[in-house]
This record gives sequence, structure tokens and C-alpha cells, in this order.
Amino acid sequence: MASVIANSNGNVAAPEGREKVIIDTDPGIDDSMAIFMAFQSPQLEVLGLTTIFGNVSTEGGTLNALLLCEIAGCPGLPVAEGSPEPLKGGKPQICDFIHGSDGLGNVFLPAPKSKKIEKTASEFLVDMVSENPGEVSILALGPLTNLALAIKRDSTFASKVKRIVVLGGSFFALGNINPAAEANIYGDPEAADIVFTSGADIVVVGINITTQIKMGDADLEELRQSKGRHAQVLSKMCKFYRDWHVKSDGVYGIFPHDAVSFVALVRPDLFTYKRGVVRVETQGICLGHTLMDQGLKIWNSSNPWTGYFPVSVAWTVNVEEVLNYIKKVLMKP
Amino acid sequence: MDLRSGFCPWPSDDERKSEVTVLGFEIIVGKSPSVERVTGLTDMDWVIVARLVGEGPPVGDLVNRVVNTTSVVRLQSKQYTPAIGLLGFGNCGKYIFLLNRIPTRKCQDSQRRQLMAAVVEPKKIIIDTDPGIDDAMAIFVALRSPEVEVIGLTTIYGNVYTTLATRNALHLLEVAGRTDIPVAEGSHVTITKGTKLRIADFVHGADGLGNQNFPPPVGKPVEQSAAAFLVEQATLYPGKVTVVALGPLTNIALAIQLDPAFTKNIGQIVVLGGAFAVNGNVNPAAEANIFGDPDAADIVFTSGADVLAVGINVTHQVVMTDGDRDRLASSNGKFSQYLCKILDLYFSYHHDAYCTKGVYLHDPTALLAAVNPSLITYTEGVVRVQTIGITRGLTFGEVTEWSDKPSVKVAVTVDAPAVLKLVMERLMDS
Repeated sequence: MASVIANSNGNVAAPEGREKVIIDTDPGIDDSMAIFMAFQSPQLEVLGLTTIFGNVSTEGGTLNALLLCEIAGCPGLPVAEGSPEPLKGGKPQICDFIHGSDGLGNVFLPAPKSKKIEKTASEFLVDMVSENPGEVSILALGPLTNLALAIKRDSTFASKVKRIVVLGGSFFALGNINPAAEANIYGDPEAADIVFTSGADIVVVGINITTQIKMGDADLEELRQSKGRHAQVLSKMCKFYRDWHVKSDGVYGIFPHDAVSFVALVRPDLFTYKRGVVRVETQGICLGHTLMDQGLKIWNSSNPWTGYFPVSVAWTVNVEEVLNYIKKVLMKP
Repeated sequence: MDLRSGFCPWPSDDERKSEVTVLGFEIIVGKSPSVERVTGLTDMDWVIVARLVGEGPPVGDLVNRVVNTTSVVRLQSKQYTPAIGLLGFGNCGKYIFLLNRIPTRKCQDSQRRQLMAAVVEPKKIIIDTDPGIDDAMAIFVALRSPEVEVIGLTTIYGNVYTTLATRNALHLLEVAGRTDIPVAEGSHVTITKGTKLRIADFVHGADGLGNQNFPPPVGKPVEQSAAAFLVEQATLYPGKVTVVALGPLTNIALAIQLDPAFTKNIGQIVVLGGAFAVNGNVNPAAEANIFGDPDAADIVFTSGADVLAVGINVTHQVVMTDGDRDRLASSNGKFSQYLCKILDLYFSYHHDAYCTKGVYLHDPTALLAAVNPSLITYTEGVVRVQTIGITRGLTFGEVTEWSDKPSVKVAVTVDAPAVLKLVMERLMDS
């Protein structure tokens, strides 16, 4: 298994071979896209899905994850349920107005036949990573509670995980929950800060990147007309999501956030990166704000960013190639 | 139009509407039928005519003034930018005339006079400052700017403690021979009575002026506090005073608390502060002036006053290089000679902290943004300041609504070469 090395420019070299992946997810319409893309990618070995709140409740996320595995023809794939609430407790905020009350665009599919595994998400993450040190990548598509719990559970987790690709944050740009914060990080700021400062090999893809890629109505129609293996079910789901984009952003189409971060996992060469320490604000009006030290100045004294390992923050994206890649994989029969 | 043909646009007495004398020009607004005939102006347009009094200064000075001063005047809740529509100018012997589109039907004579005053009167400014090496530059540039009249300095902690800031402000005015300008001492603590202040002596020296240990000033500050002085001047000249705030915003916030009408009476508050969509300079989140008193900054930004924030995202674009400093040193200007003495420390700090061969002109850039708003472009939106947590002092702007807070202006781009040129010219020619 080739290791992923970030060079001095922060560019991440493309991996070779079949990569072991766990997807931590709150499905979610664009989560479903990313998950189907993973199943359609022969170079990946999906070890399992772990679930979290966000687009739906954690419980709803688990049902949807099981359902997506069944639709994809992998009914036996482990689905481990994650934390129902953020680290500090309290009822999480659920984005049902974006993804529908079922999380899948109000298509109301029949309940899954398969069951979640006994292990919790963090147990599953720790076990898989311990059994395959240096080989398991994690694609984190929701709030980072499960990953933070795994890091707390096992102090060697951060060093044993191969790479964590995080969809979250907004770097030197506005958020989508409020001007300061992006939804996944806002969902559990404490957890995000633990993950970003854990020392693990982390790539963060913020909405400053993902909102550059738009699947317009024409792209969605192309998908619907295609022979893509999951094109029909995705097209049905996307309707609700698309209508929300029109209403909320005046965008006639969708932002495939999770699919873009999936591309960052398998085609890191389509992005450029900057390395720097990232911290998350856990208090005040900027709660959930992700802030990266770009390293442009030698600080006069230590500050909250001092002494932590840098992470790779996606800085630019090849918009055309990423969109093409997403369409190509989703339209594959 | 032919300016040499003996045609003279000086309006007759009954055509004069208002007069002021500025820069050695007697300036009137009026309407000359002959100008109308020549230029095709309609009766919606009025003309500013300036007549040289005695020898007077070069004609270009006034022309530049009027072209560059895009003062905004609020009338009946509408905004006019009287100087923007400059149509042209010419001079024939002793006269120059400036043809300006000024709405005349929509406003009364008194209001028209206000519009005119905004064009031709020097802008009154109060500099709230913590001198500071770049503060010294900004103060000197202001004193050499005919577009503005410095009516006072108020002092604050930041680069130095407030006591030393007052001493330095008095000293700088004595160096400039402008002891007629009052200095009002500001707060020694933050708006929340905080006494743990961050003082940037490692940037500006223990004395704030590059460790030159100048003799103490002879003069004394006025009895009034900075906040009281700000309130008094704003009340005295409603809508006409611009505050250029070059340090933490404690004094401005105190003025707002002292007088609820201050936000309406003050013309504009130009704030050097914040880091919009870039890292800060105190730490990755915060810029020094905002970090100095985040609570005060949040009060000022959400006060409803006309606030223009010039952050380090803009001021970092304006760099004075080693070569520029050499040019300063080679000039005989009084201010440039003085500044070259104190600039060493500032240059070496920048070299060490940023690995740059040059220094950022933070304070002069903010000052010139107040003098000549056309040097920058800005966007408008709500700005909030994070007052707790690891990102304390983070300034965050939103182009749409964050809450029901009033909007402020945030500088986005700057004509850096023009700013540098003005700084150099005005310091070398002193």
C-alpha cells in the first residue's frame, strides 16, 4: 500500500492500490452520492459505514446507511451506529429542511432488512484502524463526534489511521449555518477541534471548495437519463435537495459537497492544499468557526495555534475535472 | 470652451449662493448664464467657481482637492456625492472654475451650502492614536494634507501605554510645530475595565518611537478626556468630523456610551483594524487593534455610526521598501528626516517577523483612506467581533444579514502605489 505523502507545497500524492475506507456519514442526499461513488470504485475496499447526526438524527442515519448498502448490493456491510449527540451533550440540530424528514429527499423508501452491528461507531473505528495500522482511511462527511470519541478511546488512533478526509469548515470564507460557521463543524465544534489537533494525517475540504462545484439542472438531467447503476434513485432523492438550493441560494442545481470530498480521497491530485494548524472556536458568536494559521508570520509569543500538527487544507480545486469525475462515476452502469 | 477669449464665468452677486475661502481661493457656488450657454448645463447643475485671492497656491491643488474629495453628505436621509460628477475645469488668469453636477431642485439653499461645504471645506479630523512609529507617519501625513484639518489628537494604549501615547502625541506636534492642535488623553483600561493590556513595544520600541529617547514634551494634554473631547467636537460640528482611529477602539466606544447622539453627530469613523478573510497579526485569528479591546470594537461596529474599517488584509498591500526609506532619508523634508531616525526598529521587526524587506504602512493607509476615499474600494455589511474564546478579536463581516445590526463599510482593495506615493511626497516635501 502506497503511503500518502504531503510534500512541502502540501500537495498530496495520489494513492495506489486498493485502499481500505470507512465512511463516517449522516446520510443525507449528497452523502448518498458519495457512498454510491465509493461502492462504484473498485480501487476502494469499503470496510463499513459509521453513522452520525447532522442531515438526519443518528438513528435515522443508521437506517439510511443500511438502506444504501442494500440498494448497492452490499447488505452485509458493517454499519456501526455513532453518537446520538455532540460531545458536550444536548439535542443536535437536524437539517431536515435540506434533506427531507427521511434524510433522503422525502422519497420514503421501505425500511432496511439488515441490522446495524453491535459495536458503536467509535469502537468499530478503533478496532478497524488497530487491526490495519497505517492502512485505513476515513472519509468524514458529518460532525466529527465519532472520530473524536475514537481518538479519546485510543491514544494511538491518530497515528494508526492512514488519513482522514474531512468535509467541513469554511476557510477564510463565510459559513453556511451563519457567517462564521459551517454545518458539520458547528454540529460538534469540540469534537472537530480534537480531531484537527490530534496529529492524524488530515485533509480538510471546506465549503469554500465544495461550493465551487455545482451540478446544474442540465448535469442532473444527464444523470437521470444515464444508465448509471444508482442514477434513478439518486435522481429521485436530488429533487428535494435541488429545490432547496433554488430557494436558499438561487442555485438551479446542487452543491455535491460530500461527493467532492470523496473525490479528494480518491483523486487528491485534483486539488491543491496548504498546510497549517487548524483550530475550531468553541465559544461565542463565532462558535464552530474553523481558523487556520497560514504560517505567514513568526509569532511574537505562543497562541492557541502554537505547537499543534498542521493539517492539509484544500486550497484550490480543478472544478471541471472534479465535476467530470463525479458524473463519470455516478453514470457508470 | 475657450478659456482665453476673455470669457469669465464669475457670477454676479445675485447669482452667488454660498461662499467660503479655502486654500487661498475664494470659492462660491453660483450659476452663470454664460457658463450654461457654453457648456450646455441645465438648471439642474450648479457651478463651483474659485477665484484666486492674492498670489494663492497653485491652481492644481484646489482642482485635485475637489476631484479627490468624494465626501458624502446626508440630506433628508438621502446621500449625495457632490464631487463625483465633476464635469471639467479650466482656468483663465485668476480664476478657475469647476463644473459640478449638484442636485439643486431637490434641496434648499441651506442644504446646498452644506453640499458645497462638503466639497470645498477641509475635512475636520481627529486622530485617535497610540504613537507608535506608523502612527507618527500618519500624523505627519495628515498635517501635510490640505484636504483635511487636524482638530485634535486623542490618545490610547496599544503600541505603548496611554500615558506614553499622550507624551508622544504632544512630542510629535511639537516636532511639527503644531502645538495649536489639542491633545486629549484617552482611557488607560479597556471598556470592560481590563488592565491586562497587550503593548507592542517589541514593534515600536520601549518609547514607542524606535528607542530614540526624545526629550519630554513641553506641552500638556487638555483637561478633557478623549471621549469627552470626541463628543464635544462631534456636537460642535455635526456630520463634519471624521475620527481616524489608529489604536484599540476604547475611546470611541466610551464616546458612544457618553452621548447617544455621538453616532449621529460624528461624520465618519475610519477604523484601522481587523483582519477580514486573512490571518491576524497578534495571532492567526486577531488583528492587534481589535484584539486590544474586542468589546469596544464590537460596540463601535454595531453602533450605527458611519464606520469604515480598514483591515490588515488591505494595509498589508501597502509596503514601504528599504529603497523607499533611502529616498526618504535623502530628502531634506523635516518629517522624513525625523521618521528615518525612528524607522529602523520598525524595519527590523518586519524583517524578523515577516521576512519582508519593507514595512506595512498600516496607519498612513487608514489615514489616507479618510483623506481620500477614492484610494480604496469597500463593501458593506454587518461586522461583529468575537469577544471570547481562542478567536477573541476575530472580525467577521457578512454581506447579507447576520442579525439586525447596522452595516459598516469594510475596505476591500487599495490603490497601494498611489497611497505610497502620497505618503512619500507629503513626507519628503515637508
